[in-house]
Amino acid sequence: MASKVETPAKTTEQVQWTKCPSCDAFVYHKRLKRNLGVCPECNYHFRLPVQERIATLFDEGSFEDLSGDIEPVDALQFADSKPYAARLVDAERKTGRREGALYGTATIGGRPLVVSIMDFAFIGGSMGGGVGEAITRGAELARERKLPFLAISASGGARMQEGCVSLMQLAKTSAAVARLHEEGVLFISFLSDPTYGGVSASFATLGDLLISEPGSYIGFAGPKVIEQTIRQQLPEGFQTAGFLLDHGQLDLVEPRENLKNSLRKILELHAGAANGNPDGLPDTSGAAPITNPDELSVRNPWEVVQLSRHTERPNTLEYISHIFDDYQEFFGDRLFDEDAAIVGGLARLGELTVMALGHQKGHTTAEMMERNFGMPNPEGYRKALRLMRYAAKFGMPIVTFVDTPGAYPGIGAEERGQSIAIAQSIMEMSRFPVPVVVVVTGEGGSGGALALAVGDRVMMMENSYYSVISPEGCSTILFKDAAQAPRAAAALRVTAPDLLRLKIMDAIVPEPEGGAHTDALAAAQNLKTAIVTSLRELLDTPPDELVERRYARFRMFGNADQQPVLPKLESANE
Amino acid sequence: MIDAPADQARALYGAGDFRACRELALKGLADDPNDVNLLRLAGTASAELNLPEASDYLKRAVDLDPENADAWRELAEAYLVQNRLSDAMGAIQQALELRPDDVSGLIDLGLGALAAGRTDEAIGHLQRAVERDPASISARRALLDVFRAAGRNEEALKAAENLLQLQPDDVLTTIEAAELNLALGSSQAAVLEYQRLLTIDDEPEHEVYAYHGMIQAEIQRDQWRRALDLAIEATRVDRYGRTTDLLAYVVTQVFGTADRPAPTRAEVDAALAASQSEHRRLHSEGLGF
Repeated sequence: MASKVETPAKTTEQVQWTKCPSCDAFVYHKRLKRNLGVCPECNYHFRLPVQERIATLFDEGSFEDLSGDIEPVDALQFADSKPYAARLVDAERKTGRREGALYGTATIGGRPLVVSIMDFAFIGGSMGGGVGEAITRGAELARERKLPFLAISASGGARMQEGCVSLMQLAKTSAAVARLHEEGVLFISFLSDPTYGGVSASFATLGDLLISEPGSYIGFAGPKVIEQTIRQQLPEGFQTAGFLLDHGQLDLVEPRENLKNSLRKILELHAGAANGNPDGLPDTSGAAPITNPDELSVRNPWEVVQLSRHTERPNTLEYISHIFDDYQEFFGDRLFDEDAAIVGGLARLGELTVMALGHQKGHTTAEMMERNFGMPNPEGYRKALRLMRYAAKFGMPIVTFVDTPGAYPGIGAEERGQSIAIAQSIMEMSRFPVPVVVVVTGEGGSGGALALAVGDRVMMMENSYYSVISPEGCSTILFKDAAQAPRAAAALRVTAPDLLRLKIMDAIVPEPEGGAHTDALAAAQNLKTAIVTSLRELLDTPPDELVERRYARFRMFGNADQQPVLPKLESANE
Repeated sequence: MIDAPADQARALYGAGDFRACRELALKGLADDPNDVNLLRLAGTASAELNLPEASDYLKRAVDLDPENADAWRELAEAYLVQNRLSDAMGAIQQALELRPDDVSGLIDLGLGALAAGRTDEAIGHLQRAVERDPASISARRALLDVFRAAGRNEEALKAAENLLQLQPDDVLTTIEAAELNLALGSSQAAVLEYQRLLTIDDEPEHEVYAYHGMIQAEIQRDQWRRALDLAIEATRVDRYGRTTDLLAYVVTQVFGTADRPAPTRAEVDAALAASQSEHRRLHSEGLGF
């Protein structure tokens, strides 16, 4: 070391600048603070101390800490190079807290909730008995008060110094969350940087919603352990929130500046879920759905097929934006991937919150490729099913938009159980105890369409089609000639009038002259009217009756006593 | 008894009620638009509320009372929050002319210059700050940071050593000193700093970082046997397996072969650099932002 500095005592001024660990920029402290701890130069999200997290997320002064009596238990009287008890003293001195987590009540946008928050600065956010207690008590309080529960995790994993007592916190917290789920209480888990090990493998990934911030690291095993084990370089961004979102394991990754608003919106949408009153539905101005097939204009089936595939035809996200307010999209199947061929999320229809979801196509080639031409993989169906289960849990009606040439025929899709995913969705849709309204808005391609189309009301847009196989496929197989697709389209009876007569459809949504793409807004208004009309009829129906009627609706198909039969086509023998 | 609007507003500011403070100050300014105290309170409260007009009030305050160093500092702070660096530095200069011994002003000036990309100027300001108050931790810390940012490692090391005289157990500075010794090829000094780090950094599972630093230093001076001993020791305390490849590399260097394929030297260097960076981040972010 250099010669001693000749000064008697050190002096410290308030440190006003912070060096960003990501870009090395020096940022004025207050500027960083006003920017919610996000580096204004590179957008790096600093780890937030607990008090800052509370200040940035909850309504001012609303947080009430209830964790005063929570403290660690040194059940093993553990010591390594230092006794655990001494480490706890150090951690308390450093953080001003007796344990690495706290719980209490707060409000966001005036909506009350119960929160548990972990402190990474306290022994790396490790979960021992005290931390598990803060999480569990939070969940129990939320259950008792029927309030939404928000858990904010930041942890390296279980606390070794508490041995198996620490391991048992995984079970304790998970069991508390299970009881929350049984009671139908909303649980939002916010996984902040970092969330690993015993925390990510217990309560933190058991939320109804899993949300994180850009750049947060989340995983079970640390990246180095994985790298050393498999002896491969890990991909760029491995285990970041963005990586997890892309792999279907998070619902949402929100920049910190949007987080409070997103949570407020979700809480408000959930408050709307309690309103199952048809009076809460909005007035609509669109044309009424048509239930008499004779009132429908007759179009050449092949022309209808072409119109249903028109590249400018409105897609699901466009219909959602025209029909609903406050749409909050969620992502991922929680297993393997995020499939952009199916989209879905919460949305408001008047005062009512619904789960709106559907197949998603694009207009340009790039958009079409991004959405895999609206052909879902199993992950898409699993995402849809996850969202529908969510709706059923919280008593929200389900509205689906069907527009797919079919489920994606690929090796990977088969390896990951395409058939199972579709079958599971069809089966579970038949039993959800909430109203299910289905609209085929474009292509209704076979099982890939039906996976989102088992509803109490099944409708289709006037220029859409619904078929067991594409006309081209049928033409090749049965007519031995792909060029016979127009003839196959007619023979398969894929259009609105025939499907209405067959009772496959309950009603037809009128389109503007020339097709939905000529006036998307008018088409959406008609669609909105059809959805509102259906929900108005269904909302007062008790859940058991709803499910039984839905069973009966699908039970009749193919039953000789009930199944309507269409007149023979004039050109059938051509 | 608090009765004047400025006193009341100041009390509200002190209590953290910036909205009420601002409203009261603005109300008072309606009666007396040239009240410097009220302008300062309106400005600082507006700054707390992230309102862009904060600097306007404070600019009016210094226009009316250009001898008021505190008002200049408040104006500078409002500019800094708005990232108006050159305006901020002008305001700090004004404050420093009135109060030349204000070390925090010199630090802000230095780091502001650094943020504006004027490294030499930054070093000059911070050296002045250290001269004014050689015992200032913040000034010495800032000087170390600026030297490092400028790649002036010898001066950075000197600054780190001086800082360690003031606070010998500071983990972050010890990491810096060790890294700088490594960068300057002073392997033995680096080893000593990392050994010291082992004793002062008592965060659980942080030993591995110090071992990695020592291994890096031993590799640097081709002391492979020592590197091997340290790698074995590091493997013992490293439950995340971050040392396994490193051990394989060192074993290969010592014995010519290992029980698993060894990484390349470049991969080892990258892994060790990542380890040091992670360690630094754990301590710097632990300070809060």
